[in-house]
Amino acid sequence: MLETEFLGRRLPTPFFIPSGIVGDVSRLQELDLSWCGLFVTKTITLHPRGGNEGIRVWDLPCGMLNSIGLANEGVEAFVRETLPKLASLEMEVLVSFSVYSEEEIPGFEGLFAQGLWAVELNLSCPNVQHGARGLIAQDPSLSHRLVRAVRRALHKDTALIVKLSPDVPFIEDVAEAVISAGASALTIANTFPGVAVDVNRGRFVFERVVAGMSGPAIHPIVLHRIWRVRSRVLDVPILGVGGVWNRDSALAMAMAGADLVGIGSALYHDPAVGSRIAREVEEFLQRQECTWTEVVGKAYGDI
Amino acid sequence: MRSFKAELVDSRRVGDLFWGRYRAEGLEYLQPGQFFQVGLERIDMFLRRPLSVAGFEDGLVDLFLRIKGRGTRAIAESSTLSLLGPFGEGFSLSGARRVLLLAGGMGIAPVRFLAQRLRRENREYRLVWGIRDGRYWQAFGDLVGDCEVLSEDGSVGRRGDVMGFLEEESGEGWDLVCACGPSGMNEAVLGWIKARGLRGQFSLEAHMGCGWGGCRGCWVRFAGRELYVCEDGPVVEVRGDA
Ligand SMILES: Cc1cc2nc3c(=O)[nH]c(=O)nc-3n(C[C@H](O)[C@H](O)[C@H](O)COP(=O)(O)OP(=O)(O)OC[C@H]3O[C@@H](n4cnc5c(N)ncnc54)[C@H](O)[C@@H]3O)c2cc1C
Ligand SMILES: Cc1cc2nc3c(=O)[nH]c(=O)nc-3n(C[C@H](O)[C@H](O)[C@H](O)COP(=O)(O)O)c2cc1C
Ligand code: FES
Repeated sequence: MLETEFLGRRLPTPFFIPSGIVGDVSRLQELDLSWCGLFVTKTITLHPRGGNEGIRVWDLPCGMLNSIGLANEGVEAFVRETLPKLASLEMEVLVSFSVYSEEEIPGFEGLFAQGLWAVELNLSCPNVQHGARGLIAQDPSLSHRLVRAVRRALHKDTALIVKLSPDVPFIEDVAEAVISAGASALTIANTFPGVAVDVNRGRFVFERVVAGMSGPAIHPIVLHRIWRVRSRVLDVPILGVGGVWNRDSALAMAMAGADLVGIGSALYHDPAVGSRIAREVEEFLQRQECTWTEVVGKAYGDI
Repeated sequence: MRSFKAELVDSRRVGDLFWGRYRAEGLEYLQPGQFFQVGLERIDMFLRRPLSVAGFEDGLVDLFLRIKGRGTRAIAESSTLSLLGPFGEGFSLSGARRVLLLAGGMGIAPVRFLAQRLRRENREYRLVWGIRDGRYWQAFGDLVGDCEVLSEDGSVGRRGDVMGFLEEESGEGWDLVCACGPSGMNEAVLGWIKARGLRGQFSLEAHMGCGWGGCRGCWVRFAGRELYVCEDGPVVEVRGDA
C-alpha cells in the first residue's frame, strides 16, 4: 500500500531519511529501517571537513539547532570507503553533495562516474560559509548557473535532485530557476537559520552564532514553502522534509504536495518513530481505501 | 538499538541533586562508563539527555543527576523514563589490578558504578571524590560507600579538591587511573598521569544530538585527539609517555 514510484524507481515506502541524520553509515545496521524507502547520505564536499568548533547541537522545546558544519570525509574517501558500505544496504541510496563554485565540479567526476541513479545537490546548508552573502539557494540566478553546470557534468541517466533553503521570500522563484537548469526533483527543505543564547553563560551557544533549526516547530513553515512551490510548479516531484514527527504531520506534508516525506531529527527523539509513522499511515490508507499517490496533493482538491 | 521503559522505584532529592533508582525490564548487562540517552514521552523535550549509568544491580539502574536546566528537571520529576542505549565505550579494566578512581562533582555518577563493579570483582581500588559542599554527600554519599571525600568548603571529609590531592600523591603502585570530572579537573589529571607514565581513562562530556553516531554533534578535542564522544568515548584511554 505504501509502495510508490519515484523518478522511475519503485520505492517500498515513500519515507526517507534526509541528509545528515545518520552521519556514520555503519550505524544504520542498528536502526530499524523497515519503514524507510530511501536513505540520503550526509552531504559530502570536495575536501574533507572536520566540522565546526564548539557546541554543535542544542535542544529546543519543539525541535533542535545544529551547527555541525558539514563534517564529512570528502568526496574521494566517500567513493573509496563509504559507497561500498552503502552498496550492501537493501535500500535505495541517494548521495548528497555540495559544491561552492563551478570550479569544484570536476573534483566530483569520480563520484559521477559511479553510475548513480540520482544525486542530491545541497545548495542550502546554513552552517558553512558560501561566500560574502548568504546561501547559494538564496540566489536564483547563482543557483541556476551551478545546477546547469552540475547537470552537464553528470551522466545523462543520473537524476539531479536539488535541496532548497526555506529561508527565502519566494522559494518558487528558486524552484523554477533550478528546474529550468535541469533539476528533476526538489527537496524542500533544509533547516532554518536560528540563534540560541546560553543565559547561564551569557553567551551565544554556537561559535558561528547561527545554526540550523529542525524538528516539529518548523513543520508548518515547511508546508508553507511546499505549498508555494506546488502552487506554481505542478509536474516536478517534491521530497518534503521538515518537522515530521507523527502520522498526521507526515500525511499533512503529502497532502500539501510532497511525493516523498522525510523523517529527520525526530529519529533522535525516538528511533522508533519511523516505523510507527509508516504503520499508522498504512492503516490510514486502508481505512480511507486510497493509495499514497492519491494522498499526495490531496489538500488542493481537484485541480 | 533498543529502548527500555524505566519505572522509578526509589529516589532522593537534595536541592538540585537527584538520585533515582529505576526498574527496567530486559536490561541484562551494562558496562561502567556507558550512558543512556534518557527521554520522556513528550515532544516538548525533543532531544534526549545523556546520563551515565551510576549503578546497576538486580535489574535496577541508578541515575545520579544534577538538575541543570529544562531537561534534567523534567527527568527528575518523571516517574517513567525511556532509556535508549546503552551507548558508548565504557571503562576497560583488563590488566588492571590496582585502580585509582578520581571523581569531581557529578563525575561521581559513572565512577560510582565502576567502584560497584570493582568491589564485586574483589579488585583493589581507591576512590577520591572532590565535591563543592555537603549536598553532594547527602545526596549520594551512602550509595558511593568507601571513599575519600575532599570538599571545597571543608564541610565533609578533608578540605580540598582533586587537584590538591594530585599534588601530594606520587602515583606509584597504580596501574590504572579512571577519572570523570569537569574539564579543568580532567586536564589536570591528564597532565599528572602523563608526567608519571601512567595509564588513564577519562569519561568525557559533550552536547549530544543522538548518542549513536548519527548527528556528528558530540565533537570534542581531548589529549590532542579529535573525538566523537558517543562513539569514540565517552571513556577514552590515554597512556602517559614518561
Ligand atoms: C556521556 C555523558 C554522561 C553524562 N552523565 C551525567 C550524569 O550521570 N549526571 C548528570 O547530572 N549529568 C550528566 N551528564 C550531563 C547532562 O547530560 C547535562 O547536564 C544535561 O544534558 C543538561 O540538560 P538540561 O536540559 O537540564 O540543561 P540545559 O543547560 O538547559 O541544556 C541545554 C542543552 O545543552 C545540553 N547540555 C547542557 N549541559 C550539558 C553537558 N554537561 N553535557 C552534555 N549536554 C549538555 C542539553 O542536553 C541540552 O541540549 C552527562 C553528559 C554526557 C555527555
Ligand atoms: C544534525 C543534522 C545534520 C544535518 N546535516 C545535513 C547535511 O549534511 N545536508 C543536508 O542537506 N541537510 C542536513 N540536515 C538537514 C536535514 O536533512 C533536514 O533537511 C532538516 O533537519 C529538516 O528535517 P527534520 O525537521 O525532519 O529534521 C541536517 C540536519 C540535522 C538535524
Ligand atoms: S551524539 Fe550524535 S554523533 Fe555523537
